[in-house]
Amino acid sequence: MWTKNKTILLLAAAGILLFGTVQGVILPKWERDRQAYEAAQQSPQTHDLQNIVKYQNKYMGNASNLSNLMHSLPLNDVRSTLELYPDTLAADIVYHAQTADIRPEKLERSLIYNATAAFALIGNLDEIRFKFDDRTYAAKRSSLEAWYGKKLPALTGSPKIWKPMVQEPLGDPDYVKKGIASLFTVHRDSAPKHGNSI
Amino acid sequence: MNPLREHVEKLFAEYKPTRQTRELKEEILGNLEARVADLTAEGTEYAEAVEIAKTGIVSVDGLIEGQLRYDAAKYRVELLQSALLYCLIAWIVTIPMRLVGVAGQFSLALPLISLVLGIIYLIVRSSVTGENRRIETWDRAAAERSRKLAWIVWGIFVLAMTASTTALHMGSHIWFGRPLHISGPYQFGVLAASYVWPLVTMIVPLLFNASIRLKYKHEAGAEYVD
Amino acid sequence: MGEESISSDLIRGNIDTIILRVLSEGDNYGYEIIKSISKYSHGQYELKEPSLYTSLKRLESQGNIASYWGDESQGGRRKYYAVTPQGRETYRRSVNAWKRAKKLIDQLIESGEGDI
Repeated sequence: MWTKNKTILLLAAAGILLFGTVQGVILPKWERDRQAYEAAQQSPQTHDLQNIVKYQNKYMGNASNLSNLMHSLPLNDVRSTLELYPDTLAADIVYHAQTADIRPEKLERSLIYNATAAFALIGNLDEIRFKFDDRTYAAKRSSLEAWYGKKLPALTGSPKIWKPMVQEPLGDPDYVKKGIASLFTVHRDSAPKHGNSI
Repeated sequence: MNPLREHVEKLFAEYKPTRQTRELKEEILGNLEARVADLTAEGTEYAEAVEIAKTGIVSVDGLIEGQLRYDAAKYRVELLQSALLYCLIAWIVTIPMRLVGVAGQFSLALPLISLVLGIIYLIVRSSVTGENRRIETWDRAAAERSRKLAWIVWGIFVLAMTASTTALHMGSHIWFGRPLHISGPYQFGVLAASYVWPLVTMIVPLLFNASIRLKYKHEAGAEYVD
Repeated sequence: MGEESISSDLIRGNIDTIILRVLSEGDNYGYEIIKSISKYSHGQYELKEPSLYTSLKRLESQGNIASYWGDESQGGRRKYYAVTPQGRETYRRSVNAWKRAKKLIDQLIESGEGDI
């Protein structure tokens, strides 16, 4: 009878300890880690390739897939709509914001990163246009292929390729400047055209 | 009421009335009255004859099938103790499941149940003294049937939960013939916890087992000797 | 005393047979069965009521006796018992078994002729 009572007290103490550890230590840490990870996804240099490889698709006409892809890339915190032009194999990402609202480094790095990702994962996409309220950045697949010196789908094979070839160079401001200049044509006006909106 | 009938009613006070007990009551009463009639015919005073007849039979322990007697107070205390123990163990098992978001209500409900049980246990324990011997009867066959039923119901429950978990997590894989792929330790944890939590409810049929075991343990002995 | 407890053990072992004897002589009910046994033992053995009921229940469940309710003018009904044909056979065999056992024990327990 006595040892049973001792066991009960022991178990109660163990339960309280375990519960406290789970609730007070482990779960909050996991939450902090998760938030840090989420924050990292906003930056092209720390973005996790694994989050977007699942959106690999042959056809840019698959609107929901392309939309999901764009919402998993940096700048997804800016409200946007998707417009598709299957005849020209072009897609417009219309960001409802001024470029001035976004930090220039983050903006330029993300543009290069997102264009690379889009062309690498969507098989027949040929042109992509990032439209802001005040400006449009347009890029063609051929420009990026020339820039990276290879067919773009090859980059997404593994993080070991993606990281050094696409992400790390974005740390260098000169690289970013040259990239924007070579890869994008920039238009000052942005009249929204009609197309497939999501 | 006739004093002999009163005596017989008292003998059967703690027993559940059945056809068997009713017939035995009548038989005993008939024999007691025959004895009293005999004694008074021999000259004994009625009151005294009644007392003599009464001493002839003071208990019906062991004469009634299927109904065994046990010390209810001691039984209750130990049963509460076992229930408390089982609940605490079950709680501890469900705490890690919180990490994967499974069976959250269990890990919150069980400590509360344990707390309530603990309080009841302390109250009951302190109110049980030597004088408070409350003897009660139980029908062994009925208790056994309840026990078996509890295990069967539990078994069905576990089977149903396991089937639904399997359908939920692997249904599309099985349907399309895809091999099962576990994407990481977290998903493994979710899967494992989903299969384990129904087993925690085993404490319910286990308590049925404990109830019977404890009734035997605290059996009240017969008060007459052959 | 020691002697008495031994003999009541022995009697208790044969109580079913003793009751069958009583009932063989005529249907009877509980109290009268006890009285008959007391009479045959010349007052030396008083069967306790609880033991009686246990034996009666046992004998009835074995099919050696059968019961029926009698009508009494006053007071509780009485439960009468009667020996069944199977009961008679059981009685006969039990008596023989006892006789054989008695003979054997006599031979073992004492040298020469022993008279109990």
